[in-house]
This record gives sequence, C-alpha cells and structure tokens, in this order.
Amino acid sequence: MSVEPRLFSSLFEDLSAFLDKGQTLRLLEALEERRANTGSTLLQEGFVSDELYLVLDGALRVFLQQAGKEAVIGMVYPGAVLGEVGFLDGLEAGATVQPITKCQLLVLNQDRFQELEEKNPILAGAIRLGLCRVLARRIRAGNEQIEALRSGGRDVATLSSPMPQTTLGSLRELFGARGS
Amino acid sequence: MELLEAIRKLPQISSLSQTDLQCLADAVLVQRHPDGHLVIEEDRKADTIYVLLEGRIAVTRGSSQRELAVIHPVSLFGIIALADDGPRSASCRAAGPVTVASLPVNVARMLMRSNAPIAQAMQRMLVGQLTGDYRRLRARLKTELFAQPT
Repeated sequence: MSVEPRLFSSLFEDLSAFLDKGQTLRLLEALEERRANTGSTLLQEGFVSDELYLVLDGALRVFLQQAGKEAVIGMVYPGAVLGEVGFLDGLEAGATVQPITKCQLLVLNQDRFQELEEKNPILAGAIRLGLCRVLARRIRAGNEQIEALRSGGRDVATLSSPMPQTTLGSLRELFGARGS
Repeated sequence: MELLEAIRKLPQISSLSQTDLQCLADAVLVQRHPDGHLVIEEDRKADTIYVLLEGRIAVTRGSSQRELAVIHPVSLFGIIALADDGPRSASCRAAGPVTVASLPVNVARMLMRSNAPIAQAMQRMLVGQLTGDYRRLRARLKTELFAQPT
C-alpha cells in the first residue's frame, strides 16, 4: 500500500480516531487500492454491498431515487468514507454513489475485516468505533439538512464532510508522500 | 429495581457473564432525579452514557424543545458519546421522577480496553443505535426531499 500512515490518519481523521500508528499500518495492509471511473456505480440504494470505500482522490455524487426522480444529497471528495452503514449492519445501502471524475479509492471488504477481527479483535474494534464516529457525524449533518429543508431551504448540504480535491495534494506535499 | 437485574434486560449485554455484568455494574453511578431534571443538555460536550432504569425521559431538540421521542426503561441513551465527543444533538429531560445509571465515557473506554466481552457488547450497542438512527434519518430525509416541488 502506497499511502503513508500519517497521510491516511489526516485524510480519514474520524475513522482513524481510535487507531494508533501500528494499528493504522495493519489496517493499511488490509486495504485494497482501486480506481473507479465515471459511469460506474459504487453503491446502489437498496442493494447490499460488502465493501467499505475510502476516497483518496476524485469526486463522487451521492443521491436518492424515488419513482423515477433523483435528489442529489451530496458531493464527496478525498477524505470521505462511503458505505459504512451497510458495512456495520449488513443491510442495504441508503443511497447511490457514482464517481463524477476518475477516482482513487481504498477498499475494505467484509471478508478481510472478518479475518482482521479474528486475528486482532482490538484493531477491529477500533476500526468499528472509528466508523461509528464517521456515522455519528453524518447523522448530525443529516439532522441539520432536514432542519434546513423544513425551514424552506432548497440547497441540500452534503451528508459527507466535503474536502476540496486540492487538499489531497496539499496533504501529500505536507507529508512528503508520492501521488500514484 | 436491582441494578444487575435491570441492565441484564438490555438485549445487547444480556449474554455477558455474571462477572462481566458485575464489572459493568460496579463502574456505573445510579442516581434518582426529580421531574424536569435535565440529564443531557443539547449542544453540551458528550462525555457520559446512560441507562434509564425507572421512569420516562423526553428527548427534545431546539429552542422550541420539540419532542422527538420518549425513552422508557430499561434503555440506553447518549451512547453515541462513546464514538463522538462532539456536542449533544438533543436534550434528555426527566418526565416525572427517574432513576438513571451513568457511566463516564473515559471509564467505558477503559473497560472496553481491558475486557473483550464488554468491548464487544458496547460496540454492538453503539452500532445498533447509530445504524438505526441513520436509517430513520435517511427515511425522513427522503420524505422531505421528494415531498417538495422540484
């Protein structure tokens, strides 16, 4: 894995909140690097996925569908974690996620996570707590979205903490990591 | 109600051994509060998790104190503090006299580091609460979004 641990911890701050450096390294070893292009679908609302996605580079849109209509609820950028709800409870994705640029992702699948849990339950617990932190913050943002909608606002703020794409490059410079 | 007997009613920890349950019970502080007592105040830092043992708690949000839910015994509340020490998203106020067990987050984390079954039980409780909250929120968001003219 080419991602430097300090870069990873800065980019995925909430997910890394309960991991020490050694645990971060072990998590990085379990992650698969993957590219995704426009036209592909990472998560499909209503369908189960056994993968967790961490956005290293690129931009994706998150939207809901109902009766042929679409409502974009957010744009996500490097630093976003996607698919954590289904990853935690094993149920279907709550929204559809599609890349709008070429994306570079880190992927953790449920089988790798189970292996990790068998070998190192403390690490798996720290990852799960980090995912809960991501989710808690998403719920907080979602509550604010609903309040905004109820007060007549039509601009829906993103459900994921947005991070401008330039931030990844800045972080890589800061930590001396090489982009791939 | 006897504390051990009460917390055993929480489904996520009912499988803990008597020793682990006792360990958890030894760490909590049980207090009685009068009607109207504010157990959790919205926007304050989250540093404690709670179990409602007796009575009812009203969950409210905003200056209008809009009621979101009523908590009945035996229930956990405020458990999100285990993962997120940001400000509380709602207030919890006693609706009549209540008995509440409280566990500071730093003590809960120490217990989780030293006791694997307790750690797993806490994680199950947290995951269950958060994923349920998120799915309910997403359903409400969908209703709001698609109810509005586009």
